[in-house]
Amino acid sequence: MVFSHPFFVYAFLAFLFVAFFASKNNTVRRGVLITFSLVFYGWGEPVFVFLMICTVGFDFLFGRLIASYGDGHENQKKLWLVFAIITNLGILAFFKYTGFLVQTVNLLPLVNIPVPKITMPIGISFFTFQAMSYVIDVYRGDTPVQRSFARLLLYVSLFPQLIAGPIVRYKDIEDQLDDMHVKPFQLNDGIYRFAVGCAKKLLIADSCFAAAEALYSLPDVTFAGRWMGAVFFALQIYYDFSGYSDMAIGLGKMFGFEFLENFNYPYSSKSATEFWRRWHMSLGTFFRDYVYIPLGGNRSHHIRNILVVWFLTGLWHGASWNFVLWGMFYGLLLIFEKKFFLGFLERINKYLSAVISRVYTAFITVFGFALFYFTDNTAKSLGYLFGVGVDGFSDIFTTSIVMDNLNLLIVGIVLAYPVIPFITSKFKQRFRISYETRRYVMTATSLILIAVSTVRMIGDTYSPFLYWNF
Amino acid sequence: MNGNFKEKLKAMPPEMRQRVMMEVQAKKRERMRKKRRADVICIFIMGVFFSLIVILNLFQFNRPTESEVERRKLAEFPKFSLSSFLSGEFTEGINLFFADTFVFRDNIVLAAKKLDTLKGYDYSLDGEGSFVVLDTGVEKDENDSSVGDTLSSLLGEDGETTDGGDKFDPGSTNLPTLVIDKTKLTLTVGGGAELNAVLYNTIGELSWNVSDDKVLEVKTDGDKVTLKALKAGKATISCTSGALKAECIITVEKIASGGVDAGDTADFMTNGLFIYGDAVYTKGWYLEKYAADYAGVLEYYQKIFPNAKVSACVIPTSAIRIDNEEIKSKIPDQGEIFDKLSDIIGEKVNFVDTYGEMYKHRDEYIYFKSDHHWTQRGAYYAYRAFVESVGLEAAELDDFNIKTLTDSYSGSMYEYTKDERVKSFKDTIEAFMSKKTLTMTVTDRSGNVKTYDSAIMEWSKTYSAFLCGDNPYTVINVPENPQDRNILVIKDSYGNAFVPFLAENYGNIMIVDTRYTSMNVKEMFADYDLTDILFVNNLEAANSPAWAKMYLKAVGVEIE
Repeated sequence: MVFSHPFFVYAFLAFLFVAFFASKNNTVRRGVLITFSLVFYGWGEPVFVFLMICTVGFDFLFGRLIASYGDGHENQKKLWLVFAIITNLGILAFFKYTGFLVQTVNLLPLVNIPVPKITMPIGISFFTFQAMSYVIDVYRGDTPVQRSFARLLLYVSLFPQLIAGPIVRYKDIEDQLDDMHVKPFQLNDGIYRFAVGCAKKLLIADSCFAAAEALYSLPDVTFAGRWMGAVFFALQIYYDFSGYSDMAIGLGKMFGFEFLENFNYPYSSKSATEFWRRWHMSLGTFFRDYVYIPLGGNRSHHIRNILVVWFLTGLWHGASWNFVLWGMFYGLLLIFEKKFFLGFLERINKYLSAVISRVYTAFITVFGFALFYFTDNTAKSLGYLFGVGVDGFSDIFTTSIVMDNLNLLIVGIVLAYPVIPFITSKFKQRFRISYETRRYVMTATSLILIAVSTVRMIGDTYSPFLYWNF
Repeated sequence: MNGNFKEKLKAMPPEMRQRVMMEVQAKKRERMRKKRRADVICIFIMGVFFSLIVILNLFQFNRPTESEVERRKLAEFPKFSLSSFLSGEFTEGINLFFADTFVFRDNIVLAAKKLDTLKGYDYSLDGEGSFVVLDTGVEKDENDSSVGDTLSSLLGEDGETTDGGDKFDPGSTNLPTLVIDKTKLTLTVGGGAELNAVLYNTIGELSWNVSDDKVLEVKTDGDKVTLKALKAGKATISCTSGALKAECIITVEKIASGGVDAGDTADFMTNGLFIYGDAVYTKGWYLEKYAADYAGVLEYYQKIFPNAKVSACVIPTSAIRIDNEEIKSKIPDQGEIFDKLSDIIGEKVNFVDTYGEMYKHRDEYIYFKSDHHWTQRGAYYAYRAFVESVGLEAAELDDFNIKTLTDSYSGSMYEYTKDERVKSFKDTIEAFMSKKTLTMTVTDRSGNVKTYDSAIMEWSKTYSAFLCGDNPYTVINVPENPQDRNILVIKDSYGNAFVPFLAENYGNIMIVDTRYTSMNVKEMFADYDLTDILFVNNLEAANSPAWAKMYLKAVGVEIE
């Protein structure tokens, strides 16, 4: 089940609201959430839902085992921790990376193992990481052990963040697992956030994707066509991913959970370093806390640590070398920035620095995502961006597609910057607006966004026969 | 509370302090209650709208089953089975069913299309003169009867058709002549036919002879002979009367040994395509109203070109090749569809039996596996059906030089299905090169005019080899054919593989692709002696208001 599908919004959520708010009892509400979360996951993965439950089961046991040792039993605790990490990563590696591993090994001469086709359960990258983070935090003593399997299951299987993040750390919501009461302002905020996320995905991201595909399917390859396509892809991935995170955060709020933010206007960054503090923040902090810092952080083997983290970041995004390449691309950029570029920017004229930093960041972002998208023919596709092998600068079809999506392009680029928060804060400074008015405006906005999103949702299931074109 | 207030508080006597504190707390609570109430009201408003839609949706009694806007059956509630549940198909089916029967769906879908126009601006190129080269793409269909309405005013109450075309009139000479009504005939094993011989300007007895009586069984009856095809092969029937002789060459083909059967399961996609065995197929579609519109458009062409013979070659989809009953039960029956089309269109103009001819040869390589087009071999059978229907002789397959352009062609179906398997379906492009000398003049989409000495580009490795792809206007001239036998072909991209065969029979072939030009066909050919006008369209285009409108526009009739 997908958040932006009418069945989720107008059937699943409807039943969930009724079931959840029917009783004020915490245990009942927890039970409802767990049940619906399992149904949500099982709807798309009727078999793998048991894998997910088993993963939670293992980590629950590992947590209890580790906690059962008092002080001074470091070796036993470590043993169970290692076991837990191997189990979780093993499950993830098996389902997600086996095919990739075999393909890579096959690159060796004389090696030709048949590539197994393993279906990957949705969200496995998220729930294995989350469950694993719980065990590591118990080992480190950062959080008390959870003695109730139901509560741990609730944490991992919670449907808002189960499939597409953000990666919610156990210690961040541990205390929210007990009290299931939802304040009215939370519910309201949640609805608004969900509406915004829905609109981002359906109105902007999906159309940007269509534009990018149209540009990339033109028979003649043009320089402008490829770059504009890359821009549309970059817009699509931001609005899609951040839209999903918004919907997840919104849904969490509706049921009393406050998740941490995952995106903070990343395209307004002035460097790759800043970009990664604004993009998919939950992943960045996960790798920082569980890989970068344990390896020594910036104190020892700084460069090695950066490269390891970025290799893993790239690999996490997908089981293919272009993702790793994308990760390493950012890793190298970060080293370049830390060692030289950021210092350089500080030394030169302020205005020059503002311009250079933004142009530089825009370029690496768009280029980076072009790298991200091309799983085959990566070299050739990148070549096009440098003018290698193109049929010309532009052509009539490219112009036509861009004009066809001009408003979308402008809105997409403008809203990638914190324009709306800027306007609303200026407004608040000049006028005193009561809390009530603000809430009503927010609700009106939610209604409009959801209505338009619904139109798009249903419109997207419109699939006439293609063939009138031939 | 601010620092000043705190100091004042400290200075007060305890009871007063307590009272003031209680007032402050009460105000705070009142403020919180007001805020809370605002939020509750907001939630209530949202809840009302939400509940309304949810209830309307869940309690629909008359769920629609077809969408006229989209020309497809809407999803039904899926059947439950353990396997469909475990594979996720069942739950996916529920999602689809819910979305497809959402309340107010048709209105919402139309609203979504309007929403799309907000994305940007329409941008099209203007050329010079009467030739305007347009962008690719035709506007999407809408549920409309505007074509039908326009047609009834164009055609009046009785849409008369004239029978154009030249036929040899033996009675125009005074010499004694013996003629059999056919000089070439193709039958399938078990099939039969009747031939008649006529003596002109003389009398005498007729005797019949067959060159190979193992191929044909012959029963003579004066000037009539009844044939039955016994086995595959060629035989000549000759009729003699004194010194006069006439012949008819009969080719007997074997019955197609059967089409494709690759098991009981196929992967059906939502856009009318399905992957079955080692190929991608198209289901096919028929809607009587739209077919009637198409027929009316052709009837209108007949009306404005009374001296030309208008014919329609509607091409079935690759699904006719399939013999498996289970699969056939899930797709439209094209046999039935073509019967209906034959009635509807055949009533107005010459409806060519492309289906019958292609069905007979469905076990041959007549469609591509990885492209939505037919192969040129498939087009050959349609050509044969056409020329025989207008009284001409079809060239035989061995009248051509058959060349293989490529045997690793991977066509359009990968784009349409986005399925990795399709990448492994490789096709061979056979080209039937004419032995006749001809010149082809192509005006392409940028307005450039180029001349070629063949209708098929030997160097090309894609479907664009035929007629150089889709271009606004093309003319083929074949000097050794009668120069007063001319044909105007109005086509979609299926026509490309077909048209080169016409060079065997016609002196001049004019080809118009109305998607890429806004030329007015009526004006352009007003003073030209057209013998035939042929529409070559795939099944989809013959059931499409968009195509009907485009064809009307090409003769100056604009429909909004």
